[in-house]
Amino acid sequence: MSVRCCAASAGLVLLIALIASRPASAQAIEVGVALAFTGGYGAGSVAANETRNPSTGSTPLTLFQTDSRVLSAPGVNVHAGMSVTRRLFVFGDFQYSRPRLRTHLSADFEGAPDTNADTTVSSYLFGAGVEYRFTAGTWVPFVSGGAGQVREVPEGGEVLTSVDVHAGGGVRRALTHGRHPLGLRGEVLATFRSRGVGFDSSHHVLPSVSAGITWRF
Amino acid sequence: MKTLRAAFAVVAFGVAVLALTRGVDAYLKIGTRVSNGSLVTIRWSTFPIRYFVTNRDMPGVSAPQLQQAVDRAFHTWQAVPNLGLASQFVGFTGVAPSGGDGMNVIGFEDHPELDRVLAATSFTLDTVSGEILNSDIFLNSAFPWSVADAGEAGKQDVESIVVHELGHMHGLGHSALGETELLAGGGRRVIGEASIMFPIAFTAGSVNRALHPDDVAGISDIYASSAFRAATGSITGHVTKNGSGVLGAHVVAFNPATGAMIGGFSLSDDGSFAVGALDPGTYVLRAEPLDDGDPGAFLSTSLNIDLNFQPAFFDRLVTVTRGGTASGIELKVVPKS
Repeated sequence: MSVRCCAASAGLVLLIALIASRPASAQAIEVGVALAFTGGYGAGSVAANETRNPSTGSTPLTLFQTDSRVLSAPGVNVHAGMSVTRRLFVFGDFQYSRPRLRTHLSADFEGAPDTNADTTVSSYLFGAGVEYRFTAGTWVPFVSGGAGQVREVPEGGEVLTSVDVHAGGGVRRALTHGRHPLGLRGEVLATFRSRGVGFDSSHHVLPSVSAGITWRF
Repeated sequence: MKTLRAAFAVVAFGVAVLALTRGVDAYLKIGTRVSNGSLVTIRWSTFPIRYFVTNRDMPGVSAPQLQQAVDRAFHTWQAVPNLGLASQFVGFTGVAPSGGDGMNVIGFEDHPELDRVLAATSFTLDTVSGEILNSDIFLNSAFPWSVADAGEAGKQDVESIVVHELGHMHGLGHSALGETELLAGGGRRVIGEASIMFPIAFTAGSVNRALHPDDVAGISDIYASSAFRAATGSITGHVTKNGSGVLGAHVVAFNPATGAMIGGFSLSDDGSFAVGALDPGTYVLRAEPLDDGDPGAFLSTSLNIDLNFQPAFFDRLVTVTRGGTASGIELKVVPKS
C-alpha cells in the first residue's frame, strides 16, 4: 500500500515539476471538471455469532446476519495536467463523492425484523495518472491509468485510507478551437481499491464513469 | 453467581449491598450505595488480590487442583492488557468461603438448599468509598465438579465457573449476551453466549473458559487507564416505545469488522443507555427485552423493567471514534402484540 501511495505521490510531484518547467509557448496545460459515477461493491457478510453450548449443537449460534455493501454514488472530479508529448498527457486529479455504506440485517434469532442500516461516507480521492491519445482529430480516443489514495470518512467517524489503482479509456471531443479550447472528455474506468470503509479485508474492483468539460490554456 | 437457570439470589453478608450501576461508559457492573447516598461501582483499589483456597478435597478435585484451576482463572482476567490486575495465592485454609472474615477465600461449600446455584461471590465493602475489602467465592459442593482439561461428562468445569465468579469478584455484573431455551421438564438451558458473564452455565461436561469482547470491555470499563479511555469510544442514546423511554432494554453493539459484540442496558425510565469501551469503528445496534424467564438475573426486580417489546435494529450504522461518544441515538421499538 505504501509503495502505491508513494507512486501516486511521485506522480503528483512529477506533474508539478513538469508544469513548473513548461515551455512558455506550449498550449499544453489543461484543467477539467467532470461528473463521475462510481459503482458499488460488496463490503462483507459477517454473522453476529455466539459461542454454542456444546450440548445444543456444534456450530456457532448466529444472533443475526449482516451483509454490507457500499452503494454506487455520483461525485465530482477535477483534474489538472499537461501534455508532455503530442500523445502523452499526465495529470493529477481529485474526486469527491458521498456513497452510502448499507448493512442489511437479517435472520435474527429472536425475530427482529430485517432492517437496512446505513451511514453516509465522505470519500476523497487524491490521484495522479497518465493518458495516451491515439489520434489528434476532433474525436480523440485514449487509454488512461493511474493511482491514488482514497480517504473515506464515515459519518461521525475517523479517516480511513485505502489505495486506488485504475485503468480504462475514453474519448475526447473538441468543442472550440483557438487559444483556449474547450472540450468534452468521457472516460470509463475499472478501479482496484483496497479495503476502506467495508467490513471485509478483501480488495474490490469497481467500475466508474465520468463525463465533463476540459479547458486548455 | 453462575446458576443452572436464570434464578438470581444474592448471597451477601457483612456490609455488602449489591446493586447494579453504570458508570461513565455503562457496562453492567456491581454497585453499592455509599454513605453519602451516591451509587458507586465496587472495585479493588489495590492489587494483587491475595487469596486463600479451602483445604478441602472433593471427589475428583483435590485442594491443589482447585488452587491450580483458580490460578488459571485469575490469569484469564489478568491477560486483559493495560489493567494491572494481579493476584497472589497465599495458602490453603480451613476458613469457609463465605465468612466475611477479612480473607479472600475460594473453595467448596455445601449448599444443598441452593439447588440451582453452582457458585456465588460475596463481598465486604468500604461503605464510604465502595472499595472491595475482601471477597469470597464458594463452589456448591452439592454438584459434581471436574478439573479435567477437556471437561468431564456430567460434571461442572471448575475453571469455567471460577472465571465467571472472578468477573463478579472484580466488580462485574451479569451480561445478557446469551440465548436460552425452555426445557420440557422446567428450567432453562443456555443455547449460546457471547460473554463469560452470562448468568447461566453451559451444560455439565462443557468447558467455557475464555473471555469475550463483552467481558474485556466490562473489566476495562472498571479498571482501565485514561489512556485506554482515550483509545476507545462509546455509544449513548435512548430506547423508546411509542415515544416513551424503555427501562431494562438490552442494547448490543456489534462491529462487523471484528465480530465483537458488546452489550449495555437502558437503566433509567427515560430509556437512556450507554455502551462503552468500544474500539473505533462502525457498529450495528440492536435492542431486545431481557430474558423474560428471569430478568432479575440482570437487574433489580424493584425496577419497572419493560419486557413487552420486540427486538429491533437501529436503522443507522453508528461510528465510534477514539475517545468520542456517538450520542443522540433513538432506538425505537414496538410492543410485542
